[in-house]
Amino acid sequence: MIRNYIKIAIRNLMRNKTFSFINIFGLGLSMAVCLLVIIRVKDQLSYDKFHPQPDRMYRIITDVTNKEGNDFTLASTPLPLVDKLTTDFDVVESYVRIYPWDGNAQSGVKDLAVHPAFADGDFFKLFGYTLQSGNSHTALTSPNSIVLSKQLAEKFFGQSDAMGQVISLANLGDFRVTGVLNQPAGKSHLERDAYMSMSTVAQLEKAGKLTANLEQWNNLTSAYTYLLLKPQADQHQLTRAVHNISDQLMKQSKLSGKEHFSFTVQPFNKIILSEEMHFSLGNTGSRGKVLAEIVIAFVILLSACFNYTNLSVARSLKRGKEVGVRKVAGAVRSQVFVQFIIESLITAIPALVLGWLILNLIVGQDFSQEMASASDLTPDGSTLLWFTVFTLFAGLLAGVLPAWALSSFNPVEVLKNLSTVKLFLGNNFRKGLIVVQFTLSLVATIFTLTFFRQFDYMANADPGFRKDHIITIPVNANGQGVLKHELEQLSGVTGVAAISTIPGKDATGGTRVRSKPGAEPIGMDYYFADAAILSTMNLPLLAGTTFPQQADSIRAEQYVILNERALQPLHIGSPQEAVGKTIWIDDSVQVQVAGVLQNFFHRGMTNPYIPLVLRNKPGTYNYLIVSTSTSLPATFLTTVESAWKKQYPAQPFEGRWMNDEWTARNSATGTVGMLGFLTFITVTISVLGLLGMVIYTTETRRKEIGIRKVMGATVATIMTLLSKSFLKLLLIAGCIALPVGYLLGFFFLNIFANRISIGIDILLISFSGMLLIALMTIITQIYQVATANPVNSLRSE
Amino acid sequence: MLDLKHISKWVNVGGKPTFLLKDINLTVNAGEFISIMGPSGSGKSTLLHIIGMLDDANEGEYYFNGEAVHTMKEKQRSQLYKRHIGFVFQAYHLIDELTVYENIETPLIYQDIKSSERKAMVADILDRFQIVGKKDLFPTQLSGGQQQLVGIARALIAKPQLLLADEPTGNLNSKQGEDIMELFRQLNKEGVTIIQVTHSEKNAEYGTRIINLLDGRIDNN
Ligand SMILES: Nc1ncnc2c1ncn2[C@@H]1O[C@H](COP(=O)(O)OP(=O)(O)OP(=O)(O)O)[C@@H](O)[C@H]1O
Ligand SMILES: [Mg+2]
Repeated sequence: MIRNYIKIAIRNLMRNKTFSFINIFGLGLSMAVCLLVIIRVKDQLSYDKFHPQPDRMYRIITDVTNKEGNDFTLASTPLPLVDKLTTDFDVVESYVRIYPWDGNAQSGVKDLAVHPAFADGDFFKLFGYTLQSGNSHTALTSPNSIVLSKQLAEKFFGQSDAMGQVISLANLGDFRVTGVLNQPAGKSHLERDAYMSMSTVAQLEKAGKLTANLEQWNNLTSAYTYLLLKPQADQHQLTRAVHNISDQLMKQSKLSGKEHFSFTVQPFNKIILSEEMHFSLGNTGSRGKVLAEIVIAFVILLSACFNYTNLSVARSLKRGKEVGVRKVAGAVRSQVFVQFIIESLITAIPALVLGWLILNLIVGQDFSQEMASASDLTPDGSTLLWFTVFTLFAGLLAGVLPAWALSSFNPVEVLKNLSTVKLFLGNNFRKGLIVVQFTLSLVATIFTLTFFRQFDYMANADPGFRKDHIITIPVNANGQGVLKHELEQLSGVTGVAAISTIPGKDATGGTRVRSKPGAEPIGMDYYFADAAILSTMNLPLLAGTTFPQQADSIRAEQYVILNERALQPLHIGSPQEAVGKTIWIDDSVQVQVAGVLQNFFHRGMTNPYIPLVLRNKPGTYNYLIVSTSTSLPATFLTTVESAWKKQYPAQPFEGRWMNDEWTARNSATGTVGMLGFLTFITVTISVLGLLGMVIYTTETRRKEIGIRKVMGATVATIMTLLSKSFLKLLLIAGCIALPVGYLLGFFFLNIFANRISIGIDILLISFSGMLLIALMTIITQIYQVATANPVNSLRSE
Repeated sequence: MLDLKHISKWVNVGGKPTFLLKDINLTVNAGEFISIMGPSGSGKSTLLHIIGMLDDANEGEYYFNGEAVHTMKEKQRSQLYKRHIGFVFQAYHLIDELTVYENIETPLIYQDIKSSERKAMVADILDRFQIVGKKDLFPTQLSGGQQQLVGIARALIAKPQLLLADEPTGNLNSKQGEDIMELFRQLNKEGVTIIQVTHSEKNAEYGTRIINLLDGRIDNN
């Protein structure tokens, strides 16, 4: 029987080529999005599946409430927590703290940026990592040991044995390689490229090379605590223990306002796709984002399924006779139902193939870089299984309503006179679906246009500092002065300055500034920079001067430069008044204001002007900012690179044109591309749906049109007659979508400090664009019918 | 074989019940060939649908081979109907998407008959109706008479005891109509009970008994 159904389904697909095309193409487009989401979600869910005892593993996280009463969850915990937990309570079998550190590592001539972490000795007991060489029991016990990932070992030592080699980490000193990891059996959110023994930390803290955090309960953010529970203990006991500890701490601490913190137990299996946390470690994915992706994909799929439902129901008058005959031939309702479901499943299969092809087409394009990489597209067994299940689901989703409606037909009624049959899913239902689709499309278009225009505006806006013809070069303190001097000598270079973080992206950090000791501190952003930064980046002074030259012997901070926005919270009336004033930063350092700058958007256009203090402290600069003459071509970067190579032959050159980075960051090409893609799909699906309905309507009214023409109706009146009802649907969709799109855009724009206003033009462009596409769809179809010779349509009846 | 007792059927038109059939009493014995006649709108099709279990009566009792159809559930009735009744329509009602062969095969599919057996049965009937050459054509490629022949073949494929035909020759010319009537007579001789609705006196003569309907009642004059 199934064979028979499949045969009929395929025959129906082939017979009604237009409808099949509309269904398959629409479903295929939506499936491309769904497959993408499936791949992404599956990838995220594959994380951390290779550890030996995940059910007994937990991570401790910290819930914090600040003075203003805002709650935060930190993925991190203070370092001394495990000591307290293991000495005072009897629940923990073993633990590993992960204490990340980022910086440069050097071995021989190689000098690379690395992202290792300090880890406790039981690392290999808790986590499923294995060693390709080295002893897992001892590799992370003695101080100054380092275990490298396979990749990092190869980067440093190529094919030769890494074991026993020495790697020197900037500021931390020498480490001996005591192990090389195997390629892990799967992905993990712990994606550090090397692990160093935790026992090193005490020595480094004593030597002043690391901030003293080991005994520091106040530092909540620098390390992460993973535990293996004793077999007889349970999560509640652990929860009680950590609450006990945080309660004690709360009693001892001097917190003000609503400040509060407590530790929480997070089961290890719940780390992936947990809620978003601050200071999260590694790629744990975000439940919110994944949900949003699933919802978007589902809505698009639903929209494509609407087309299927709509067209099937529209054609059900034709199929109704078949249902009647089958029932007379002995079929019961469930058999007819199954037949139609199989038909929709059969439609879903070519749609899946098409979706897969579309996905392969878009992955690898510029706009899709953030969505997926080509390597994700090699399907394995379980992905194929997911796809199959999904295809079944999509087929069911599309087919269930029409199958239900069609199988309910009463044979006596349908065989007697089809036109008297009352459709369960009436005309209004189908019109409603079209309105929903076009509303969605229009809202998506308005939002995408708004989004694009906002980012386009930000990419081209004047941030208040010079960003054109500027090269930024990340460079560590070692030899920085020499490189700076070299660069200054290059012809075409008009200035070189050093700074801790590139302005326009972020501040280096926040500090507390007081107008006098004991006064209420004011939070301000800061950069460390040298005197040349003002001239190099064209930062205009409102009053005062740049940093005065200091004798090299004085390494302590003496001067700062404020932006204008910083004056008001410090209760300083004018820029002139500020110059020469003494203020206190970092709670205790006394400095003098050398000058006041005009405000600029140092955190990018997303943020408003924020109080900023420029500080002058040699040895803290991580970037050189090189301004060049405006006549130089973009290839000047290679000239700068050769100067770099002289100074750092072993290190890769990472200089960039600031303007390029600014544009890339602010235009959000990836997101715009993705939104554009989704909008394109949504619009295409709606237009396909409309096309199907127009074809259907004109076909069923062919005879009526013939009669009207014979009676003297002109082509124009017939076109108006046929298109009027569709235009009405579009207008309804517009009436819903325009205000909704406007509000959505309005709320979205509110997150930007510098924003465009949603012009009426965006609404008009979206709506008239939609109307134009829809009209073209309608008219091309209707025109054929309206101009056809009425004799033909009447004779064929 | 059939026993209809006090069968009535009505519909509500504008809030008032209108009788389509009123107090129909009819007994049909196995082997009969009955023609139902009557003016248009007198309820002939309605009666045939009730006999064919495609429709319910509002009142009365209906026994088929002694079984009380009026008390049966949908499922049981469909079982009974599938095995014992074949239906032929004036408008043929073939499925356009299926070939002649597949159209004839359809009832067998719903009776869970094995594929090999189905093949044999369809081949038999194609042979008997001399339409073997047409088996791979689609209905639109046949003449009206040929389509009706396929329709009858489909009705007979499951070897029903009772064949119901609603104006089977209504869309055919007189020669084609005669052929169909000859076929019915032949089938009746072979033991199939037939009830046909017809407007033609001549066709009615083929039957063994004529029942006249008038305004939903059996006219005994
Ligand atoms: N669902 C319905 N609602 C109202 N009236 C109905 C309904 N179905 C049938 N009728 C009426 O019932 C009467 C009998 O219909 P039926 O189809 O049985 O007539 P008929 O004898 O077969 O006529 P014809 O010779 O034209 O086929 C007709 O007057 C018809 O209009
Ligand atoms: Mg009739």
